[in-house]
Amino acid sequence: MAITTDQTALDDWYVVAAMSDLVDGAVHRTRLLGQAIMVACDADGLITCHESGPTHDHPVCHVITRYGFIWVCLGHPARAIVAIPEIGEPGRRFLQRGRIGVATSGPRIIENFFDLSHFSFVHLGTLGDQDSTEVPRYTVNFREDAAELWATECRFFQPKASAAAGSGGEVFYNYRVTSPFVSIIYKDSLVATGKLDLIGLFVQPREETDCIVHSFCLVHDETNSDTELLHFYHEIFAQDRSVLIHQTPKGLPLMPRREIPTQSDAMSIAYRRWLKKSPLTFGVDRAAW
Amino acid sequence: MITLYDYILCGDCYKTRLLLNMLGLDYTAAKVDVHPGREDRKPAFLALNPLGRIPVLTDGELRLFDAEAILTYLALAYDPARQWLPQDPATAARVAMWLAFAGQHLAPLTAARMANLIGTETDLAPYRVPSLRAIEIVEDHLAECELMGQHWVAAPHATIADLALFPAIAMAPETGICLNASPAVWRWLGRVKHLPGFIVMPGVLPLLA
Repeated sequence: MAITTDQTALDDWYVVAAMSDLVDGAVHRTRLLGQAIMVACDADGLITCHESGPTHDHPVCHVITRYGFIWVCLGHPARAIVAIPEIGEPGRRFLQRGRIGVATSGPRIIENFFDLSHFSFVHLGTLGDQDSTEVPRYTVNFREDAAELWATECRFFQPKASAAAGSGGEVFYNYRVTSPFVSIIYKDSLVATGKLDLIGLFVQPREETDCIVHSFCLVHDETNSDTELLHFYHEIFAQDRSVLIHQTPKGLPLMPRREIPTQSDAMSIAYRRWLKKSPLTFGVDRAAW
Repeated sequence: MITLYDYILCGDCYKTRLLLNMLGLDYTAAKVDVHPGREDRKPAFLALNPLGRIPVLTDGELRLFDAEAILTYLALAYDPARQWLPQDPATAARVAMWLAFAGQHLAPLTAARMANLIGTETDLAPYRVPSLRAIEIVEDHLAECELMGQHWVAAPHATIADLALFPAIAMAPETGICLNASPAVWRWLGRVKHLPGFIVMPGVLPLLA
């Protein structure tokens, strides 16, 4: 595949690796927006990224390490990397959750991430229960001059909302979407009353309909080992993955005639309208029918 | 006291969890950070299995690697009725044959699924032909069994051979390998899901009715 010509997609930041992927000076080969790239860490800890192709090999100018991930912009950065001040706050554990490949578009993955209504059917026993499927009304709003899309006052009954949760309960959520390919959940900790746990998803679109999902959790949890946390999240994300790879079309449909939304889809609708207004074409499906 | 060194997304671990659950056995899951930590390639784990692969099962002093060997042990040790691994020589040998088939000929399918799942830049094309061929062999075998009024891989009832084959085949669609041309496999997957004590893992759809 060749690099995309979608300037909006090119001008955004994407995670292409975790620092831990760059062990022992090995070159990490991956793809971003249709472009083969190589990421490496030299002896002084300097991170470099190259576009590599059959006829060319040149350095990528915009490479930044943040939150233990390597971020790359192949165009001219149109915005800053998402700010997550909570990562610097005490009390929570930060854990990178390992990359997971998903053969669909980035917007499909982000939309699934903030969707509440699938919990009771896809994540039985953890994030949902077949006896409580209702999605209570929540609020959708734009912040930061419409640069960020938020769903707030979300709540849902969850049998086991986190690895640390001992019993079921109603959990309050906020979802934040800061770019078409980045979303963060803020959700009530069930072990630290009044405190929030964070889960972040950074989608690396290798191709329009083939992505790698990088993610982190930033949680109040004194009991589980890192491995126990990983297994908890991998089970949930692999359940999502098995639904996502079968969704068609793989590009996220943006035209209103293509969907039959209900009230519980308010955030999906806002996300699709938000993308429709932007010039983005990578990973979205703008067909009218 | 049984301990299973386990990763939730590993199909080989899942087949041992299936039998443990179907036999109603208590066990401790020792969770291994296979991804992204590659703990299975580190010295502490290599001391358990020099091949650096999960699952590993320990039961008292006994330590076993290889999912098919683990299924064999559990069936012999904990199924006095000998349903899961029958005593009859021909049936026992047929079970052994399909266990070997699962370990060897379904390996490309398992490897392709894992590469796909963890997003490595692996060319999956070389895995495709042997994977399709392996599924075709199982399809033909099951179709033939059905003509004889048989519904299981190696016996008139489910054995560990069925469990050994199940995960890789049930999750083939996850790697883009379609089972639409394998109707006998489809019917058999449904029968396995009806077995008492059946459990799912991500990628294996539960029975909806």
